[in-house]
Amino acid sequence: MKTGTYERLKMLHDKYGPQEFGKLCQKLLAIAFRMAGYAHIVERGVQGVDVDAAGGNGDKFAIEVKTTVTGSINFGQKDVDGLKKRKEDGYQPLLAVLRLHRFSDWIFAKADTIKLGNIYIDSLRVYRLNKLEEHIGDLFDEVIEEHHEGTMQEAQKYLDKILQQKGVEIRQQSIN
Amino acid sequence: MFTLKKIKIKGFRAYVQERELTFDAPAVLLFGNNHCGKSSTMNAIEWCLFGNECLGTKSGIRERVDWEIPNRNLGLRPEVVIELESEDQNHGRYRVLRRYRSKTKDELNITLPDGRILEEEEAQKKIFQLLRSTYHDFSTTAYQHQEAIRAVLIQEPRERNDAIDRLLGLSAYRNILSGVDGARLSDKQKEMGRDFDHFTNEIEVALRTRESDLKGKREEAIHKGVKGDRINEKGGLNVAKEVKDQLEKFTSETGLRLTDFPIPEKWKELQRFQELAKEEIKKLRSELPDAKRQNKLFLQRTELIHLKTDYEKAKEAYQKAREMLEIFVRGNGGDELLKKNRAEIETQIIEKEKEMSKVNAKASTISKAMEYLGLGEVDKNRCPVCGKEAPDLLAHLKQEWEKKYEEDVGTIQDQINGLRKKLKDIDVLLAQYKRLKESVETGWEAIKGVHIKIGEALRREITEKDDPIVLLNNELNKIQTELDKLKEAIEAKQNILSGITIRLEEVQLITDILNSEEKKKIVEEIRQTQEYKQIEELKDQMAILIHDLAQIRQAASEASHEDAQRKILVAGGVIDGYFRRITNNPSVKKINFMVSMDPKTAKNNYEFKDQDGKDLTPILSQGDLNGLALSIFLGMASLKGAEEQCGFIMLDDPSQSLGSNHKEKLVEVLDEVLNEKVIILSTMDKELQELILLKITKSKTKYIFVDWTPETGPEIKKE
Repeated sequence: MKTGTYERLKMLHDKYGPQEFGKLCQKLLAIAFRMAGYAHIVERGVQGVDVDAAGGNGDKFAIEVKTTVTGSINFGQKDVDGLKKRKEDGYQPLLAVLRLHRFSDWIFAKADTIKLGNIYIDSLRVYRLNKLEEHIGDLFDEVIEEHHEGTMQEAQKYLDKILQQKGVEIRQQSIN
Repeated sequence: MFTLKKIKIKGFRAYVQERELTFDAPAVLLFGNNHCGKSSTMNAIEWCLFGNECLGTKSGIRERVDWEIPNRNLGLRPEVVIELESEDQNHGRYRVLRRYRSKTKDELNITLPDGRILEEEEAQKKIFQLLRSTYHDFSTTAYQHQEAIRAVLIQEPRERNDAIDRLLGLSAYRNILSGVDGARLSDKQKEMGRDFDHFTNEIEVALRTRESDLKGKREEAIHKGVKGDRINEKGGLNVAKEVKDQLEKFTSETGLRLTDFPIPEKWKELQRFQELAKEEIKKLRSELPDAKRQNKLFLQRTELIHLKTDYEKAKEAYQKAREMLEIFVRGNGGDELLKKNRAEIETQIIEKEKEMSKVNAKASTISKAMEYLGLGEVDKNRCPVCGKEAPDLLAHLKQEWEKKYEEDVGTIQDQINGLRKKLKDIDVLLAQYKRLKESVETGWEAIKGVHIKIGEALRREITEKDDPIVLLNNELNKIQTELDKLKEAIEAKQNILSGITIRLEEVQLITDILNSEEKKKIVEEIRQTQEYKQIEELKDQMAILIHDLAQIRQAASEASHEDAQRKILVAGGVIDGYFRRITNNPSVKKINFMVSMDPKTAKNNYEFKDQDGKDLTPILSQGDLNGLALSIFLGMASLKGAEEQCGFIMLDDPSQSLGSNHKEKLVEVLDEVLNEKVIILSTMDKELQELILLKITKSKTKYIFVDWTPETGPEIKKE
């Protein structure tokens, strides 16, 4: 990510704390997918897989979003179950990991064979979707630049408004 | 089946001289006490067939790590040769010869039934073919090592599982799993990550420092009046141009010459511009015409002030000298008076000296007479002048001298001395007078010297009639008036230059900020560098390697498990039968030998359950466990068909921890195994020896290892 993106994300993290920061990133990422041309996007605020993104080219991703400041994340049974369920519906399970670090980028890893537990982020490199990372990563920089101020002021409320404007479906209840 | 017929051993471990053993019966028994060469005999067979494969850590046997092949008593060039004769199922004869060369090298050849000789690698391949076995398989299914048995006896499950893997010939898989685990690549990956984090943290700190520095510089610039919108490349270049324009205008107005230096076109040229302009301003300050005149006047003023001081000092010194002279004259008179007094005293001295001389004539005679009479051999009662007799003449003369002459001469002499002293005093005064007079003259000369200098400075003659102080003061006043005017003019010009310097400082501030931004940008762009990309690639490769190894580990684990299941399926029944017979444990009616995969380690986990499905290991004695190990070994050795490897098995001291009953049952099992294989058995156990001789129904060749000496090696008797 660009230095500016990191700086802005850090401000969000410092202001809202890790948990809220994770939810904000999830919504910001959903906007980036929307900008990438994914026509059907579902963002789940409470339960289930975090984001569904289906594109015109046939790509369908069920994305579990994880943010961290350390080098590892926890991939739990609930996450595995959620992704498995979406896979049955034809979605490619994806683990989207963002380490809040100056030299980090989004990692989009195919989650089909990832074992649950505490995962060292670098071990996900084998499952990466590099092109998708690059594409969405660039758009994410733009999203942050555009919506940082609003997010700093109103957090999820602001992002939900943007998501709605962009036609992203926001679900607060589990689809399971 | 590949069977052994004869072996010749020389120089190998316990062996010194060449010894020959024949394997001409199904049961070959090596009996004798410890340290007599029994194990060396078995090892010799193994080393002849597999060479260095059975040495060191790769053998998988701990005691083989520092194994020495040559006997230590053979000196520096030991001859170690083993010749093994064997036979295949078609009765074709083979002769295998292995000769020791060094710790890492030996020579091998094999003579085939048709007389052809194969050497080295080719020979080794042939041995593998004949045995249908690698060393690894051989060491677990044909040669029962004591170490394998000992490992089974250990109650710790992990080590026992390891030992059973070895007995089943599966330790290669286990080694792969241990190797992958031992590599600790995930730890290495994390270590790499930590190192990288450390590196990036340093960058982060560097960036924060730069940002803080940058912030400080911006604040300083704004505080110093630089407009915010000018703190950029364009702003810096504009300010530089303005500075240059101002300098040109200034030089044009003052008539000074401006050194030609270019206006910067890029921000990186600002620093040089700033340095050049600074130098130029410094030069202009020193070259201002008014400043030159001012300097000249400063020098002139200083000179006049010095002259004024010099004159005052000279004048003071002169006046003081005159005063001193006047005081002297008043007190002592002048030169003439002193000289007159001196002459008078001199006359008085002459007169007194004459008077003295008169008195002295008679006094002199008396004095000399007294002196004469004072001599030792002189007639003291006769006058030395007239020769008349004069009793007590000396005493009489002394009396007269004291009465008359001494007083008169002394008085005149005192008067003369007094006059001479006066004369001396006048001489001192005259000298003083002379010095004072000279001081006055010197003072006057000094004044005249200063007069000349002042005249030169004021460009006019100074006479005694002039007052130099007034003249100097007048000139100094003129200079000061001019200096005051110059000061104003110079200050006005210096202010212009100072104004330009302030603008130049703006250039410096903007340049500093741009420099800091550039440095920050460099740090930020580290990700675009080739080195950074290489690190990223390395991290990718590391992740792939770990992933691939995990898959290899998974495959090895599954293969090991499947192989174990297959072997247990094939040999499980035999192992069960052997175990129950050897141990004869009344509570065990059936042993279910089972293998599962340990979910944590993915290694084989062996279980032995009784007929009721209960775990047997907690109730097994050491003897039972030894029996279990032997059952597995013998069960594997008895396999036929694809599992069949060679026509003999070697048992090294198999009766450890076995009770009498166990031993008897073991011999029964061995008798059964002898139906399929030749058994070479080594033992020091007398009870087992007797049982074997008594119970084994097949023919036996018995070697008794009677003694061992360092010179000859084992003494072996064949029975």
